Amino acid sequence: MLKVEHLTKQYRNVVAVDDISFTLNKGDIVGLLGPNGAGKSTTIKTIVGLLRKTAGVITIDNYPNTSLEAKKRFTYVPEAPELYDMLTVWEHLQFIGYAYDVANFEEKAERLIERYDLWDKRDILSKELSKGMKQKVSICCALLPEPDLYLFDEPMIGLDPKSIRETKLIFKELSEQQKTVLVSTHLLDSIENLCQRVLVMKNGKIIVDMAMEEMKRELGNSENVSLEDLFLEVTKDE
Amino acid sequence: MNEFKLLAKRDGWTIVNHFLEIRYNPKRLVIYLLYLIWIGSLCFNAVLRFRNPGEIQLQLGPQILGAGFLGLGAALVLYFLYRGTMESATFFTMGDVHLLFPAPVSPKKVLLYSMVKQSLLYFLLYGFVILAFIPMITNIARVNLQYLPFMYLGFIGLVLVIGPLNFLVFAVGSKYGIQLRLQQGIIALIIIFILYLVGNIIASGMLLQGLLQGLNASFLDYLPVIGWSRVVFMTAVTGYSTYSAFALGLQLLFLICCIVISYNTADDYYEDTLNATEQRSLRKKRKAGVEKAHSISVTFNKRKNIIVKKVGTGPWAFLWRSKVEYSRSDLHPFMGVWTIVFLLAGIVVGYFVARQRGGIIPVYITNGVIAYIIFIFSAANAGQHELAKPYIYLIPGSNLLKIINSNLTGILRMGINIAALNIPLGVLLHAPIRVIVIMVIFDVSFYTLNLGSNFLIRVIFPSALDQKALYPLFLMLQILLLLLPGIIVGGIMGFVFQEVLMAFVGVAVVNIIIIGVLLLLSNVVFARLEWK
Repeated sequence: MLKVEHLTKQYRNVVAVDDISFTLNKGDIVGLLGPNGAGKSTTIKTIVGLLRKTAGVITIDNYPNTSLEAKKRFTYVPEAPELYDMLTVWEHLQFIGYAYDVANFEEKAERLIERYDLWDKRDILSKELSKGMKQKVSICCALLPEPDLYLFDEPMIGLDPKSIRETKLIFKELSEQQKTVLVSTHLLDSIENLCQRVLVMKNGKIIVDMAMEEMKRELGNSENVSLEDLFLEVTKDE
Repeated sequence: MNEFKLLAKRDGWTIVNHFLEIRYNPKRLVIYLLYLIWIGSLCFNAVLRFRNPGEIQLQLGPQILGAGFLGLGAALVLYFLYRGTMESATFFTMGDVHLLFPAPVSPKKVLLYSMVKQSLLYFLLYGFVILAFIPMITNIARVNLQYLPFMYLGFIGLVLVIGPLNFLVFAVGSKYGIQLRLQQGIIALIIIFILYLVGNIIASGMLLQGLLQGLNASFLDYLPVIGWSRVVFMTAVTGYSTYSAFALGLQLLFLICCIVISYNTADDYYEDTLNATEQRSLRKKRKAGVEKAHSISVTFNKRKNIIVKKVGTGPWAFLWRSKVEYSRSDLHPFMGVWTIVFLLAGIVVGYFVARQRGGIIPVYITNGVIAYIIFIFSAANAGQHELAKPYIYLIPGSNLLKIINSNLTGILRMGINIAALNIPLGVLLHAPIRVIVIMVIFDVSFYTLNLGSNFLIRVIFPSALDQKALYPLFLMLQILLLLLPGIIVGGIMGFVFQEVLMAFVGVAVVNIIIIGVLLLLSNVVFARLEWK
């Protein structure tokens, strides 16, 4: 589904992403983890096409990531959602519905805004929404086109507990539907039981690319080993 | 759905929502109404003057207007060309970045639509800007109302070209890897332009005359963009000629070419526009009072460790903080790039005035103008940055000391800048030392006056929207309560002592008294302050 080969992203003298490669297959739910400044957001933004790659190849279903064909196959939730100030919640969904040519978008959009408790906010301008509400709208916009690949950058920040639970449920449903999800987050416990695989980044490089089970096995296979323990173990400074 | 139709639909919803917002929030109408009254009063004043043209309007007016337009136009175009070698212009919002850019919509079409949309929007919006400038223009020169549309088209022709030109320079520079060469070329153009002006000043021997001669040279009318728009703009003053229409056509053609070439060049521009889009979004949020403004303007960003000795605890931490910020962002905690600018301005003005007629009246005029500018500009934003952060409310200590410490470095810097201007000016014009000292105190008192009064405004109108809506009212109130007492006392003192300097002393003394009263009220004010 998503193939990243030798991706490098450099800003002037700073190498934010350093020659990373990974592949995501259909149905994969993969956590992209790493300390602050590891290069997670840069990686996702480069896949989305917001940033230009310095080197490497990114393909989505064998299409170059910036092509229109590739863009039809993925959606993106940014870490700090910025919406159109002067559009209502419902108009955002309408806009996405038109942009991605979503069939029966009204029915799907209504279901989504009900799931995220946005029904009574559907006619409110986005500039009047709180940060958490904007995040919910952003997630709804990403879910509406039902693409094959979802790129989430810190999707749970600012969400209330009910919405976090709803998002986790949605991740599970996406996995059952054989959709692919790449989710970057610091809330490790929230994805612990969702991800089948984790990519851990540090200083622009992928230092771990393993299935969760395999990772647990390598670290003693104890029942008490949590994703947080694993993360702290692999990212600790030498 | 067709991409253009999709974007037009989005903008249609936005326009409808703007109208609906006015219905739900009629406060906005107050903003528009106050600004209309303000522009209306300026126009009324202009019409009165239009009937009785002054001597300057008939003699030097067209020259001043033509030179001013070309000088400002050249500065603007050269600045944006230079900026275009480092950063792209943007036609987008952060909503576009997060929702439109990742969507399956052709980037080329997004760019073309956004460029044309911005051009049309500016075409309408800048009508108000030119309307606000018309009083000033009619004060300078006689305007033939029949050709007023040409004046607007000349102005808007220049404004519309800047964005696409800036974008194009960046796109071409980054696509072909010739940013450095473009930068060198633009710097060469800037140097040639400055040398040309300096040459004219030296040849005429007088600053103003040299500038007027240089900037009004007829060959400049053939310069692309700047010259063409000047010809169109000046049609309303100098009269219509065939070249007016031709220059207008050339300007339009240039704009279309910029947009078409940008369309063809820009395949992968999203990253290029990100920074400018983020900055634009931040500016918008700051205006709305959502984001915190920068406390100081950043000239440099020295990343090295800044060592500033502790100056005390509690409220004194504000003084330490501002010294660190200024040390990092400027030449020195108390001196900066503006000190050099003020110093040079003092030397240049002093030199040329001394050559022409001399006397210390220009010292008074210069400082009067500076005080006015300080008053108007600091009224808009003084103290807001500190009040927008939580620390001034949280750090324990005397409120009086908090106000003093958070403003002390700024006041000292202003004092040094004003001294840098007045010392060479005063020496070259043989002004007595007491004049120089009084001028420094006079200007600084205006700066300090607004720093104090803005705390009060924040208490009276805590909402950012209210502050924005009622800004013209604040200004009027500040002029009445803060400016008028000083002017009255200064006028009386000047009349009684028959000396201009005593008028300045009177104003400065009253300002200092008002500052003292505002500082004494600090406890009352702080008790009512809210962190927004």
